[in-house]
Amino acid sequence: MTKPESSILLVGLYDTGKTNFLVGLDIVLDEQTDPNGLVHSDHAADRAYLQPLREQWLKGEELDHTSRQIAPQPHQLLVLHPVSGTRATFHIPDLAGETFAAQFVTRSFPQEFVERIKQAAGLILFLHCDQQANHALNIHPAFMDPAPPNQGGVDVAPLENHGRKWQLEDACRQVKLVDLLQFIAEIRRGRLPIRIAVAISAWDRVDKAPKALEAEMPKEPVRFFSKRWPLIDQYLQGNGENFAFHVFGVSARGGGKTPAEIARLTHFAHPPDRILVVDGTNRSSDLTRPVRWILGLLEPTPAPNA
Amino acid sequence: MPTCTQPKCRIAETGVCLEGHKQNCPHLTGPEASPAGATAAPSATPPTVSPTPEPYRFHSGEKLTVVEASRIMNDRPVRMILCAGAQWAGKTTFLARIGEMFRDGSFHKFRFAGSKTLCAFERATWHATLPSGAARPETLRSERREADTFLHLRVYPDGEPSCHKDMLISDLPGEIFPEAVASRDFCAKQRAIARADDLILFLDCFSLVNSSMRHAEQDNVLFFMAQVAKVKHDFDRLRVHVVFSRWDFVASHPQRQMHEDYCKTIESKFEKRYGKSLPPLKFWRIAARPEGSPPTDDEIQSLFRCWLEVPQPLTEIVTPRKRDSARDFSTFGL
Repeated sequence: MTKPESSILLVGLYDTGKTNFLVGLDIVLDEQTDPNGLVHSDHAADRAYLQPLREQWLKGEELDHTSRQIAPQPHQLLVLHPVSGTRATFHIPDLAGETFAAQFVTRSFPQEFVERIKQAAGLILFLHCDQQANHALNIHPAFMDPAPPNQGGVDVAPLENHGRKWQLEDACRQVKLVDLLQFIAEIRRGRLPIRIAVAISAWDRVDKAPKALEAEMPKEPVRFFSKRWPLIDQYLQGNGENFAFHVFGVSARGGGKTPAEIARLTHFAHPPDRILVVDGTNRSSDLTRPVRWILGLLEPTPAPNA
Repeated sequence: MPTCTQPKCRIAETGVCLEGHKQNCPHLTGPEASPAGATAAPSATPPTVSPTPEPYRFHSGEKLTVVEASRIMNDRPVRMILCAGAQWAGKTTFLARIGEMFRDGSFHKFRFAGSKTLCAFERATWHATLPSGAARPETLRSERREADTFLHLRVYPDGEPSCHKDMLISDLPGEIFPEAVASRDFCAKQRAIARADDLILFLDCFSLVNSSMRHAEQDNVLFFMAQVAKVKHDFDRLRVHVVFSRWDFVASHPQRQMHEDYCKTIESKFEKRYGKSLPPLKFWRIAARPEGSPPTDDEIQSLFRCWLEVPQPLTEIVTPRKRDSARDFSTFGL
């Protein structure tokens, strides 16, 4: 007897690695080596969206951005946990990052997405390790670093912003995401807490960061999350009646985009080996771990200092 | 830019469709509504489109109205904070700084659990951010129409994530402060005054270090306090915090001691007039966005923590109303 399918949503702003995750997951499901891991339940008949992306991923190329303009025929990625018979689905195409940014501006959700949230077993919330959670504050010149402020990923003002009034689009990333989570809590009021796997993407960059930067860029995903995205961390911790969450460091692409990095990525004999998933003390290439945690099939590995 | 027939869609201003369409939105009108339509003959019959389901709407994210604030107060216990003072005294900057400290994780003892007014907090901070392009950190001041509107914040003590505390914060616009000082009727109509648990009075140190302005500055604040005493039915339970704001103007002044002494005389006046009739008065020296020195974040956080302290048990025989503070504005006949 098969169990009913649970749906899992991918959530995150622009350029946070949602599509890379989906494509990497598709590949891991095919080449699963962990007997307790997830595998493909069935290949969808229409893979017009996923197949070209999969080819790009295998070649180490940068994936095309998910567009809201040219929407392919919706279909699903079906996953199965053979040991327990548990199944789950991912909607394809994943929602573009602009959809979540637009929600902050329009203060609304399309009904279709509301229904998806109500039915979802869990969410994977994507944050990019390099993106700034907040806008940098304009510190008084006396405290400013003499180095040009446009180096090192610090926000700089586009010329057209000078003297401009605040608009909804100007809100910083973590405020947009907290608001999104508040919307989700409102939609799901009265239901059991939803599981959120927080995926900090491009984790390979954190992993390779010099030790001297560890205070600013902790190498443990939970600590990284509370240090760099404190508002979301505190919000999730303070709303246990609505959310259960666990943090993963994820590199679904496995590395950078330079020719040397692409050569390294394509050198692996077993392509999924280039993937990195960090969860407490566990390091693996199994991109199904966040999904298994959402489905209650994985006890999270404790943090090194726990 | 196309326009939309849906009343709440802001695509004409923001370019973002209410329902998330980038092309072929059935509600768009105007020359750019549909690229196909642009080339079609004027006599062509408009295509039939199936109605799109109405999207699910959420709160605006802006400051709450009295009705919206009442809804929260009816739902759960809330601390009501009222900030009052002259224009440019730094009330909004102070509130913006609280939001900034929660966002950057530097707030100790209390953690963020939610807010219905995230947009309003973001708006207050915008001109202090690098992306705004402002030459120096500034805060957009509250406008007249923002009287009796409320910021919302839900927090929990560090380590007690299920112990939520809600607060509503009203920032009486400096533009109408002179009216509030001059007119008892005006004060009587302000819901935030009637319901306030904590009153934060801002005395602008920029004025206090100026001999021609300082007496008027303290006089106005004391008069406002007198008006509040007359119109507030539970005045004896009001917790008053006197904030010497923009303290950097005193701290960096060549005659610092003289100005500090002047602030002490103001403290004495408050103590003399209200020290026996109110819970202990508190005095604070705050610089939320100072020139040439770091903000007084510890002082701001201490003041914030005071708002959430459980009031001391009343020793007198109290009426039921005094025991259970009003949950909304209706108690005051407003």
